Formats: sequence, C-alpha cells, structure tokens
Amino acid sequence: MNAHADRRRPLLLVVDDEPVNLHLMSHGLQEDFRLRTADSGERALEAATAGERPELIVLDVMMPGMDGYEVCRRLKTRPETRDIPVIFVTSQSDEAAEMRGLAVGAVDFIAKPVNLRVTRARILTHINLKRNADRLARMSREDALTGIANRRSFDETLTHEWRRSARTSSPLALVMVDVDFFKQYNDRYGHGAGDICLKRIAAVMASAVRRPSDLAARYGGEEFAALLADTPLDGASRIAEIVRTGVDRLAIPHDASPAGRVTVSCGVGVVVPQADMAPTELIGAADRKLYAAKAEGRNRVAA
Amino acid sequence: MAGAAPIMMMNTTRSNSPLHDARPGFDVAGALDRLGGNIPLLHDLMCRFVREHADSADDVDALVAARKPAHAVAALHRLKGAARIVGAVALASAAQRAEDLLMTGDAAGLADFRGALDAACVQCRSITRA
Repeated sequence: MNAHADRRRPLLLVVDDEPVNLHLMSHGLQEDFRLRTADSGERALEAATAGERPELIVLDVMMPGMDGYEVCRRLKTRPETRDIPVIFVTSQSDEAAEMRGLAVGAVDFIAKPVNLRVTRARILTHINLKRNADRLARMSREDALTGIANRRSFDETLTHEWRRSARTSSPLALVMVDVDFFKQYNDRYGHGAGDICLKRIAAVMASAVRRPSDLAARYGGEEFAALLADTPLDGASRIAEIVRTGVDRLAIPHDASPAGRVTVSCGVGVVVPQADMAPTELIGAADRKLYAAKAEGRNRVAA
Repeated sequence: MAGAAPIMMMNTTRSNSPLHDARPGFDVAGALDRLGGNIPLLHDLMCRFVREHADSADDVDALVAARKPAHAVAALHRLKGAARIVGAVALASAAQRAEDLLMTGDAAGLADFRGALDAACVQCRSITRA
C-alpha cells in the first residue's frame, strides 16, 4: 500500500492493558485502519494528542490506575479531543455500566470477546457519522461560493474575539471591504463572471489575513470583512492596503468602472472593547470608514 | 488431543494450517469465527496468550499472599478476557470462579484456576504446533 493510500485509512487509537487484546485489535484491524495503541489510561491521554489526532478511540473500561470511564471523561473535557468518538470495549454487559459509559461521552459499546467483523463495522459506522457531522459543521461556517468563512462564522468569531479582547484590553480591528461598482460589473459581464470575480477577491482576502487568530469572511453580497485580533489601527490599515492593492493587481477588466478594472474600497475600525459596549459598535465604526472611502472616490482605504 | 480427528477450519486469509476441534475446554471454532476465519491471527494470539499468561497463577498467588485481593481480581479479569479471545472457555470460567471466590475472601478455589490455566497453555502450544 503506498503512502497516499495509507494516509486515507482512518487512524484509530486502541487502549487496553491486556497485551492479547491489543494484539487482536492492532493485527485484526490493520487492513482497514492505521493503529496507534496505548496500554494504560495515562498513556491513552498522551497518545490522543500526540501528532495526528485519531479519528476514533477504542477504549477498554477496566484498567488499573485510570480506568476507561475516567479516560473518556478527561478526553471530553479537552477541546482538542472532545469531538473524537469513543467506543468502549467491555465484558460488563449490565445496564448501569452502559449508562455510565454513555454519560461520560461514549458513542457505543463493543462486547468482549471481540468479534472483528462487528467491531470493524461499528468503527466504520461511527467514523462515517463523525465525518458527515464534521462536513456539515464545516459547511455551516463556510461561504459556498468563495470557500472563506461565511457571515455566521464571522458573527460567532466576532462575539468570541470581542470577549477575549475585553478580557485582555487589547484592540480588535475590523476591515470592511466592498467591491466598487459591482452591480455594474454583474450587469456588464453576467453573474457567472461576477461569481468568479468574488472568488478571486476572496482569495486575496484569505492570503492577506494569515494569523490563526484572524478571520477573512464574506460578509454578504459583494462585501467582505477581515477581523484582526490584537491589532492596532496602523496594523489593520496595512492589511486593508494589502487587500486593496492585491485586488488592484488582479487587473480584472471592468468597463463600467472609472478605473477600468475591478477595485475595492476598505473601511478600518478599531475598538478596545469595554463592558458597556457591543460588537455592533466595531461594525459601525468600520462601516462609517467604508462609506468615507466610497465618498472620497473609491479604490482606497479609510481609517 | 488423543482421538480427535484434525479438521480443516474455514480459512479465508493467509494459511492452510489445520486446527483441531473438540479440544477439551476450548471453543476454537467460535474463536476463529470471531476473528473472521483468520487462522494465522488465532495462532499469534494463542502464542501471545501463553507468553503473557503462563505464569499468571503464580502472579495471582503472590498478590493474594501480599493481601492485595483487588489486584488479584484485576489480574484474573484481564486473563479471563484474553482466554475468551483464544477460545479457552473452561479457563475463562475458572478465572471467573476464582474472581468470585476472591471477592468473598476465599482463596481456596485458586487451585482449580491454576489447573485450568496449565491445561489451556498446553492446548494452545499443541494447537499452534499443529
């Protein structure tokens, strides 16, 4: 199996203190999965976050030291592991044991002695469910046309960053970007060309906003937004200028624009959030500057 | 096992080695079925079982002598699970009985467990040599 095909096989973490069980799982499932193993609860917690995240964890319940319930409980409290499905392997078939496992976050149980066909099928079912859930979650935050964050994602991130900036008393910046004469572009070149234009501008936004804490989003229609954490006015203005010149350099022809090509106007707002302020104040500040940029002749940054 | 006719188990994977059915205290067919007919894997697991657990009765005795019954019960529980994987049903039952006895404070039943463990290891060695 080549490396590419191998990477496509889901990575499992199998946790069991019994070597015969570990051998069974790691050798019996190796044709369908890549396996990482741990022989104790403590090692399981390390293995769950070491490098590539496992797509699913198969966890023995009874282990000396930290048992499977406690491992699962801890996994579910950590942001980096809380979404990994956990299947318990147990010889305890009583209702109380299953209820306890479900209460700490397990998605399923496999009874000992393990049947490999059933185990493989259950693991694949839960991995597929998780992948579909991830895909839906991603789609719900992504703009379908441009692939960058959508308005919902922007609103959530703004709320989160607003609170964080208020806690740290740090400046939160917003760059609002509007495509100049976009209605005329659509009228002149058609909506298909308009979509391509928006995609190319979104790519400029994404390449200009690179820090993990920042967000480039499609705000709506032909309007984009860049939310920049812990960024003062000069830094935000610089990002806005990178976006403006980036779009300008695309040199997308636009006969209905005085510039003869597609351009954007940018408004920059910066706020250090206070307890008596709302995130809409930041949007309002950036919006006012955007209108100023439009009023001053477009294809410019107002800060 | 004397008198037991060797039969060819279903073999969907990598080996043509025969397994003997009707081993006393063993459900080889059931174990093999749970493994999807993977005879080499069952062989590996039996070898691993013997390597890991042949001395487990001594370990359990030592834990009981050290007044660590909970640890002894845990060791028996682990072994019971491994025994079920390789089809050693009589040993799994003996381990369960030993667990039950220890939890009631009675260590006298451990002799049965030791005998069942020794017999299972003999059978595993015999099967994997077949």
